Amino acid sequence: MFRFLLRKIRLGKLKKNSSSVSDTNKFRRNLEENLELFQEELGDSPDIIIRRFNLNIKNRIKAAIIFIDGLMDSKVVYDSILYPLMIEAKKENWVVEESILDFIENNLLTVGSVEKDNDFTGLVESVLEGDTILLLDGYTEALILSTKGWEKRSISEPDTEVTIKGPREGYTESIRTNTAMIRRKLAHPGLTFENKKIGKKTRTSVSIAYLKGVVNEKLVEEVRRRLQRIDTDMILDANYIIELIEDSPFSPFPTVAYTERPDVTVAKILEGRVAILVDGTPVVNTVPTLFIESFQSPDDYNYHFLYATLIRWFRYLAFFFNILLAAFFVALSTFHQELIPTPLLISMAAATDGTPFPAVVEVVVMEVVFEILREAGIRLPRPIGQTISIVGALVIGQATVAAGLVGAPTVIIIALTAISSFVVPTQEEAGILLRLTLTIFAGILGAYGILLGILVVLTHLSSLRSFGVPYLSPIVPLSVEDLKDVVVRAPIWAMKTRPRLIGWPKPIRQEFNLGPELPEKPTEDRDDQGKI
Amino acid sequence: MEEGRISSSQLTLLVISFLFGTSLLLSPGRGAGQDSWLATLLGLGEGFIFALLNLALYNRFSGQSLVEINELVWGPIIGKFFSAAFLWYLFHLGSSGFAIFVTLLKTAIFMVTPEYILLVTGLITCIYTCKQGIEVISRMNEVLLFSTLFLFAFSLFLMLNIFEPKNLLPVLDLPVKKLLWVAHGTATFPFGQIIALAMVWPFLNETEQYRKSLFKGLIVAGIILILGEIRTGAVLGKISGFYVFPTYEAYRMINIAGVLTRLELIPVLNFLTMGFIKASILLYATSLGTAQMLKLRTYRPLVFPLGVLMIILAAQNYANISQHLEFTENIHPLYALPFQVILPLITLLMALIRGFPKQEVSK
Amino acid sequence: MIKVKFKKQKLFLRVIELGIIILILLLLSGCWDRRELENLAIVSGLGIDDPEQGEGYQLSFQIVKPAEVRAPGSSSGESGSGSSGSSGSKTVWLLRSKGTTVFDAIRNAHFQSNRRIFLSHNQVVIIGKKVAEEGILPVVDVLIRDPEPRLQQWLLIAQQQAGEILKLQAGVEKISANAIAELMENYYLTSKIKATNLHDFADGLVKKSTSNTLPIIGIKEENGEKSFILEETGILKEDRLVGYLDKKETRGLLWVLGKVKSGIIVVDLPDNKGKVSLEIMNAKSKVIPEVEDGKIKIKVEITEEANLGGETSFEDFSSPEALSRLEKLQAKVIEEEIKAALNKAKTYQLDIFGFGESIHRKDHKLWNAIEENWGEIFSQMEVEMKVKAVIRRMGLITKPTIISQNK
Repeated sequence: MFRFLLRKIRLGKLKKNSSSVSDTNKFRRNLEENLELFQEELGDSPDIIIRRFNLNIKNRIKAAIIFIDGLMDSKVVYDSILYPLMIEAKKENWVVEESILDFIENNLLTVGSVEKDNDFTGLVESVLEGDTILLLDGYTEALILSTKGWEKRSISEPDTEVTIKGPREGYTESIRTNTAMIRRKLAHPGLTFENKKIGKKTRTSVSIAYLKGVVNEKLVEEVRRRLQRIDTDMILDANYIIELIEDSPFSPFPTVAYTERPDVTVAKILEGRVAILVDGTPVVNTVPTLFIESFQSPDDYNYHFLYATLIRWFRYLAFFFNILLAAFFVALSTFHQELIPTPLLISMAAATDGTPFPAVVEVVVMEVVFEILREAGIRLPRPIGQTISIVGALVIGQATVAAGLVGAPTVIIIALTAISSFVVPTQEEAGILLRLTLTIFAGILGAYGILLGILVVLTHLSSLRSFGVPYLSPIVPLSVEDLKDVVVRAPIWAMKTRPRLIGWPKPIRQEFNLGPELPEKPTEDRDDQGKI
Repeated sequence: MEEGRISSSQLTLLVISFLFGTSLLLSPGRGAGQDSWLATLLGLGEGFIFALLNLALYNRFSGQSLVEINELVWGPIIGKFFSAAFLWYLFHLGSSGFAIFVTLLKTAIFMVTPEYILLVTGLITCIYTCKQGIEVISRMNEVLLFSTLFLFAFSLFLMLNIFEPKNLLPVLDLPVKKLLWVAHGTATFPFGQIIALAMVWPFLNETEQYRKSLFKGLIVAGIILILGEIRTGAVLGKISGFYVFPTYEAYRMINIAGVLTRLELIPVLNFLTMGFIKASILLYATSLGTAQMLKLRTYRPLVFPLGVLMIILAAQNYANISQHLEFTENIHPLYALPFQVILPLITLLMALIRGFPKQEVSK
Repeated sequence: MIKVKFKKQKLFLRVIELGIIILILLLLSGCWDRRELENLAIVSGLGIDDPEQGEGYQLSFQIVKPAEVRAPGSSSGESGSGSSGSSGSKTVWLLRSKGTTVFDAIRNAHFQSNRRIFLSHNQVVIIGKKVAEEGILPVVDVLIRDPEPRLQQWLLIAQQQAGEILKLQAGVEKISANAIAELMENYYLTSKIKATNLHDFADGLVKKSTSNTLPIIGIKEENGEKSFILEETGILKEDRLVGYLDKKETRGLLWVLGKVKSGIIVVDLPDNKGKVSLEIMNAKSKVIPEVEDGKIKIKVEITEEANLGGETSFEDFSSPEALSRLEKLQAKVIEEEIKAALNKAKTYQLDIFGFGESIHRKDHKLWNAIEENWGEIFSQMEVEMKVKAVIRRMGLITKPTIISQNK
């Protein structure tokens, strides 16, 4: 049955293809007939503008331009197309040696990029992308004039990856702006963008970017292959691509990284990674992705390395808090009370005295309530979002404890967990899942349950790969040299190699002896200065 | 059958955790009281001899697992018999591992929870890991071993204030005969059990490194075990011989200003993680060996049934803790000898007689 | 085409597999070992007595009422005002139960307590005098064997009934067992209490040659208000209470064991000139067994450092000579304390100092020969003492503020 359906679909596809082939032959010499064709294809939408005019070169020729209102830069269309063709063309006595179409292209149009085409579907596509096409009576060819230009958001500071000392620019929805931002930071001829249109209906442009000479060619080949096999209607967001090319789609852990910041992308490209840009998404993805990348904030590299190291440790701690604190709380308070220091136990017992539910239920319910609150806070307009958090804090935090429904320690634990979950934002999705499952495991088998849960997660993590690179590297398989950016954030002059498993085609980043040095003879210098 | 490859350092780490996996808590030199460290040291020496023997055999058949070697040397029928005996030993070891696992949990933490729950949940985790292959097992091992060693060192540090070197005196308090017997016990458990890794050696990516890895692993594991014994002996004193799990009791003694105390979960977690690795390796080795013996294409379908049999044996094997202790202390040292020494030895002799290395070279 | 289908099936199976695992976990396990905090009776002190009639033991549990302990208004004194010494304390609940064995009695507590008796946080085990005289081991075995009670529990012997002591109020503390535990932890302030926990006791039992000593807790009545007091130490033969050490002898014992950390030494000046209190700052001991022509001799070396804390005389100790005279007097006091303890131990033929162990450590062959009649050998053994006591500092003044006329 299934197979039959598929065959039907396939046949239908074939038929469509053949019909579209015959379409190209539709192009006629008569302008009006051609315009009718376009009208038919594009429909009667009010935003499709067909502007007919007369061209007065040698003799009067009927002409028309087609564009979509709002997608083109009107200034370009009026000043560089209509004005020259309708006004400038009249003034001179032209000596036309070539065909009129070529003549116009070479002498009159002041548009940046002009292309000649006679493929009907291609022309329709370029109109839909915001270009203008120029048709002349008596020609089976048309000119595609690049007039793309639409309202877009200007470059602004990224919302989710705020840095204190780093650059303030973030990606926008326009892929061209994004590629420009990358190239501005990485002005090296090796930086290559490969463009591709994906999505049969949406025809979204997707670019892959890499640095030739640093990147592993096989990796680029693999990215190309995975993009190639995408055969879908729509790509509305980068995540559509990611879910289609991921290594393990069932894993809650992100095996493709994203960033809103061009400086991060450039750093990753320089390590030998490949970036995937998707039009319409203010986010750029990079592969291969390692687990540890979630803990490397761009600000780490803007601060003193000792401070950055300390903060990174806190980030690891926060991640453990995030997934384990609630589970440990449940395990300790329902299974291993002997492990709690006596005064703390008495305090906890005093706080939970008389609460109606077991600790697991308390924690899980509070967890769920918190997630709902958070979701509400994100979606609502900002002023109301704050109201929600106040209501949440007061009602959930204060009232439930006062009413004796939930013990105060539970609220404290959930609050700590919640705060910790914001520290490592990229692992947040995995974090929630792990936290809930581990808490339930802890409620069933105590610390043993947590341990088993962790073992399963670790096994899963060790078996994960992102574009061929083990997800947990450089921790496992251990690569001691790469720990310079994992256990600590080594000073910039000490990070002389690229990550071993990613940047191995060209491992050396900089010379060995780049640490800051004092001038050769500092004392003499000082003497000189003294004299002056 | 198994496409994964492991590096020599990963093999070293596997050897370490395999050796001190279960012995971390069930200290093998227990019978020798405060001289347990000495017994462990002597046992390490004897273990080296066992390892040399195994290496001598393996040297002749580089890239072959023990099951395949048996087949080559003894022919398909007798070879299968030998392999079956070896696999039985691995299987039995695995089930004792599970049994200790449960004993600890049942005596220390989960007194009411039925055994089968603890066994089944543990087994599911092991099966999941085993099915991922040797690469994932050894990666897991890296993470777990480092965390275990960190906790070990940390606890050693915490015990410094209750460390009483006097407790280790007098040396050689018990009769030499007894000491030697306990030493032999530590040679068979854990050091001699290294033979189980003969199923893993062929997956080394640098084939010539296995010897170094093995020795490094033996020495490091030996040092850690001896350190552990010294620590336990010095902290607990003579009474350490009275406890079923002396290490556990030593951790219960930790008390730093009333703040860092009640840390007995640490040894249990250490033991469980390392025991998990050991059980996974054994389950993996048994399944892989069986698959090789039966000439199957993959070992994966065998993991589940063998694992279930393992825990059934684990639940049925020992009626009580005394039997278990009796087995590890008095029977295992003899029971292990045929598998750890005699079978490899006669296989080696037979290989020498039949002149096997030449054939391998020509191949 | 077929490949894709197969892949999907595999993934689907995996998800189902995972689901089954979780279901098994959830359904099969009924959370057997789960115990909610609010269902625990946290025991802070345990008293073990002989029952007035019948066989077995009577246990007294001091159970903490967490909510009352944490409530700001409550205090243990409040309730005690009406009838002192009654079990009307609000922060704790004194529960008594009887049983043929200790474990039996612990379980029998559940005739009265709906909450599970939880011994992990028990701080002190007090053993009634009668039980102590009959033998402690059968009582504490369960406490060592069971994983729940901890080995760091302090072990004490009550002068009379253990239950009576757990009833008492303890000064500022809300939980009196905590107060007892802290008394033991702070034994070094006087160094006259032999604080012993369960592990020390068990260790002592294993080392057969060494006799255990346990602190004795008694009741002091003053103006109708009762409170507990720790002044004596009991000597045990194996696990039976046979004799007592007083405060002075206890410190004598602690000197040898090297457990003196602090405390006050009062030195009587010759010719009734007055008394000087010296504060012990640091003390070390060394026990060296020696064999001299077939006879075993023990050498005890004590090095002690003290500060001059106060004097009731007008003596000026600011000169080195005067100080050294004082040091000699101090050494003599220490020596006397040790001698007192030693004599007491010799009368019982019980080696409470661990001399036997030190011989064992040094020469286990010799030890094997004499182990049999060690008690006798100990009682006749010569113990040589070498006390090196120094005075380092004398506080913020060098001389008494009034210097006597004759100087």
